[in-house]
Order: sequence, then C-alpha cells, then structure tokens
Amino acid sequence: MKSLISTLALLCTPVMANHLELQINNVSNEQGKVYIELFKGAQNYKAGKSYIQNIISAKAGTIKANFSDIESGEYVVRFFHDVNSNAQLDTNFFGIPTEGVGFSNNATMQFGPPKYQDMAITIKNGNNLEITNISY
Amino acid sequence: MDRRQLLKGILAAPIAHAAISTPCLAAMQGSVSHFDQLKVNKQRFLAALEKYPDLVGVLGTDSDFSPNQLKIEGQLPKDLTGCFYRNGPARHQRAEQRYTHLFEGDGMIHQFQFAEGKVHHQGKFTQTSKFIAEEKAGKFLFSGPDSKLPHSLAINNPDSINTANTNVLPVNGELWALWEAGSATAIDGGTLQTKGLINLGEGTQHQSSLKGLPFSAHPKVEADGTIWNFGYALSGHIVLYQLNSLGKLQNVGMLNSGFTGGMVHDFLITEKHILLLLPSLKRDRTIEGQFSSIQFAPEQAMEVLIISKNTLKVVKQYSLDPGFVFHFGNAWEDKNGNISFDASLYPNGDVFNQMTSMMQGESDIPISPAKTVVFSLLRNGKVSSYTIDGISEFPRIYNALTGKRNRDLFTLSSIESDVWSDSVRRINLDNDSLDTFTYGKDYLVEEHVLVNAKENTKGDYLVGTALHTPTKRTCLNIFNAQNISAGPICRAWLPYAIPLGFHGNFLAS
Repeated sequence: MKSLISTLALLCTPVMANHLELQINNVSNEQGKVYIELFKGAQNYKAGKSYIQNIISAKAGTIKANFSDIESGEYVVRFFHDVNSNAQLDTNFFGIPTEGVGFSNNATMQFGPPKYQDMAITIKNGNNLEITNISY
Repeated sequence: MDRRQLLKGILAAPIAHAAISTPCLAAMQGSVSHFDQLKVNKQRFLAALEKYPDLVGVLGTDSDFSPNQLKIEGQLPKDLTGCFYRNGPARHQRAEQRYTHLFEGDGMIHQFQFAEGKVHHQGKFTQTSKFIAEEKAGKFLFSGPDSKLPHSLAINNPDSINTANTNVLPVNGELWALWEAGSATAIDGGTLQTKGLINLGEGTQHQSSLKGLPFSAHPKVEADGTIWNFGYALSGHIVLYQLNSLGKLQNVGMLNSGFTGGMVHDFLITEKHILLLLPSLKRDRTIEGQFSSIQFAPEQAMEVLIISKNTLKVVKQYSLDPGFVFHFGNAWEDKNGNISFDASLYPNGDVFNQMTSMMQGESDIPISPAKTVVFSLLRNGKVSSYTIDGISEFPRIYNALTGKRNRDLFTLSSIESDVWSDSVRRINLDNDSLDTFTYGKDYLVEEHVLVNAKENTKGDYLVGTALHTPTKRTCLNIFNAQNISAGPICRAWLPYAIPLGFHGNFLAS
C-alpha cells in the first residue's frame, strides 16, 4: 500500500509542480487591486467555476502574478482592475464594465466578451509564461 | 444625364465597376485568404468617384476646415446672428481602407457663424479617443459597428468607438456632439475644441451606472430648457433621461422594452408623456455587422410605448401597422388625452440596405422613400392616421413648440429625385397645404433647421446647407420660414464641398 501511495505521489508531483507567471501590461494606474481568475477547461469557464484566484496590487504599467502547483491542461485567465477598491467589477446599467478588463491570449472585448477559444491557453509541464494586456 | 439618372448613378456607381468585382480585387491583392473588405471598398469607391464625381459628398475629408469667410448672394438679415452648427461623419477612409457603412465615419462639427453681415465657416473633427489614436497611427485601429478589422484593438464598451457623428446640441454654453450608442461629447462652441466625454451621472449616485450609457442623437428640448432623451441597448433595455437646462441629471429611468431589433433612432415627447416607437425590425445574427444584421420584419407591428414623464414607467401601449421610422417631427396631446404625432414613415426597411449598399457598392438597390404620416393615438386605444403627399425626411418644428401642438412641420423632400433630397418645404398641418422650394437637379440638400424664434414672428428663418454637385461647393441657404416657396433670401457659398452630414441646430446670439 505504501509503495502504491509513493508511486501515485511520484506520478502526481511533476503535474502539480507546474508554474504560471502571468504578466499583465497596460495597467493604467496604481490605485486598487487586480483580481485574477483561472478557469480550467470550457465547462468550468461557462459555469463560472474558477480553478484558482489571486488578487495583487495595481501598479501603472506591467504587473506580474504567479500561480504554482497547477495541473497541466487548457486554461482561460480573466482579470479586472478594481480601481475603486470595492472588490467588484463595476458595470453600468446595461452591464457593460466601467473598469479595465483583460483576458489570456491577448483576447479582447469586441462588442462583448471574447470567445472561449480566443482566450484559451495551454499550461504545460514546468514553467509557463503568459503575457497579455488589460484594456479600459 | 438628368437628375434621376444621375442620382441613381450615384448609388449604382460603385457597382457600375463590375470589372472591379470583389473577387477580382481580392485576387489583385494576391490571395483570397488576405481579403480585406475595407481595402476593396476603398478601391471600388475611388474608381466609382472617378466616373461619378458627385460621390464627393460621401468621400470624406482627412483634415479640418480652417475658418473661411463665405461669399454671400443676397442680403443677410440683420437680425440673424448666432451660429448654425452641423454634425456628420467626415472621415470614411484611412490608409488603404474605407468603412463599409455611412454611419461609421468620425464626426466633424461645422460652425457657420453669422455676425456683422458676414458668414464664416469652420469645421473640426471631434477629438474622440478613437480619432486621436487612429490619427496617430495613420490607420484604422478599431472595428466599426459594421466594418470588421481583423486585429481590432479592444472595444470594451461603445465609447471605445464613439465617433460623435450624428447631431450637435447647444447646452449651457457648450456643444454636445451626439452619437446614439454612447456618451455625449462636450465641445467648446467657439473654438470647436473637444472637451471630452460626458458622464451624466458624474457627482451623483449614478456615477458608475450611467458611465458610457447610450444617449441618443435626438434629445428633445422643451421651451423651459428641460432636456429629455433616451438610450437604447441591443438587449432591449432603454434608459430614459431628464436633464435640466444646464444639462444636469434630474431623473433617470430604465425599462426593458423586449425590442431586440437593433435600432431605435428617435423618440417623442408630449407635455405629459414620452413616446418610444419600436419599429418593425429584427436582427439576423447570422449576418455579420451590427447594421447589416438589422432586417425589416414585415409581419411585426410597430409598438408605441407611452411613458409617464413623472414616473418614467410605461402607462399605455399602441400597435401600428408594420413600418420603419428614423425621424419624428413632434407629438402633442389634447385635453382628452388623445396623442398626435408625425413620423417620416418608410413602408419597409429598404433604406437600411440603401445606405449600406451606397458605401459597399452593391447593385439593384430598391428605393422606398419616407412620407410624413400623422398618427392619432386615441385614448380609447384606437389608432388613426393619414399621409401627407410627397416624400419627407429630416422633419423639424419650431423648438419652442416641442411637445405642444404645432401647425407647421418643416421637412426635406424630393421632387425630381427618388434617392436624395432636392427640396425643402413647410407643411401646414391644419390644412395640409405645402409651401415648397425645389433646389433643382444639381443640389444634394441637407437638413434645414429653424432659427429659434417664435412662430410667425419677424426674424423667423429656416437655414440649411446643400451641396451643389456641378461645382462641388456647399452653400448655406436662408429662407423666410413662412415663405419657403419664395426661395432663399440669402445664400452663402463655401469654395469647396464639405462632407454630407446628418443633423444640427442654430444657437442665436
């Protein structure tokens, strides 16, 4: 039994050792925080069920966020800049964001949110780097 | 070539170059996989322009018009002082590309200043964030509502591509350049310098919730300066605004109309109510492009929502026969609660295809012009209507009568052309008599507006522009509003043509 667990652990360890460095460019200012969510696969994204989340301080220009111990596979990253620190993405009466938003794979809003396949990125074994932009 | 043939030629012109068909041009560019619809459109349009120079009205321009004194014919009325402002799309192409829809071009404000017996003109592009970025880049950076760019920058909200190109309204010492899908843009009325987007919720509890919401290009201003307006979203949600004469928010309301037809362009007010007419449109989402996806729905009744000005809630609804309307003149209600209004009513949605085709160069464009129809919405729920003879568009009334009974309705018309307006007229709604002036076959006539004087008083003028196609010059025309058929009492000429525009207003000094 012990050997089985050890074997499983060995199998799992390299998978969970994956790391993602997310670099977000074009942050407008240092006010508030940037809220980031990772979704694993289309089903979870559609259901709004995030895999992991992170909140980092805003800074004008480029900011970086790191995610460790994540499984390999297909992911979508989305984020917003909570400028007024009310812990939510502000929208107007018609539901259109009034704070900056961004997505993985440099996908952009085009009269609405981008399609899943335009945002999807692959996390491979080992270290991964994703560079993308936020827009306001 | 006579007028009718010429104007049909204008529309047909881009197609007349069948030799430069879309596949041909794609092939000329090297590969169908690199097909650029906007590039093809520019090549086709410029080829058409060479053959049909009258297309100069929709060519657009790439620079501002510096101040210029106009050459005057006739006597400029001494009591006519102030500024006539007009707005319209003026930048239709950049680098190798040209937009595919007439509504997409960047807005330019024109100022015609009347002072000391002279008329001066200047025109300036509104410095929207989109315009500034694209001007710097020297090319289009954003998809338009209809023109799709393969690598468009992010369009997070409608203001990302706000062109401020449809109307211009003087408000509290400044101008608001209006575009129906997004915020109004503040402009300095003297210099025409752009000040920036207006958030009507600024300083109120609605600061975030009103940011970037649509503010239609057809606000209604009551005699006391109160401004009413609406904004329509493709989802069917409609926001209603009441502003005071200083442009400050007094009340705001929301309703879900359930109308997803894609366009509600204009609306009406009476003394007690707001009227929203939802035309017979539906969207075919398999068709790319927000304008192109709008289709006429011949079985779909037009619905009129009657909304209380006090509560901003729908209090009554009427159904009208299928049709389409861009513009209304006025509405009013009698003491029994019966409401009357006029509409420039199209029997179908062909006008949409016409405008798209005009910029894209497709053939066999069916022409179905609008006519003035006067509707009565009776308190008992019944509806009656009658039609005024002749073609009508761009209806205007004396501003002070907005929401009150009006006798006179001023519209453009077409006597010789079935494509473009060539006439202006006053309709006496008491007896349906017409007082018409026809510019003639050589003019493309634009909206004419009333100088904000009281009805039937001295100094009661109608002013408007027209493009003289043989000489490619734009003229400004001044009429005695109660004697249109006598022709312009004064005409002022620019030495060049300015791009055909949409709407404007006169601000008396």
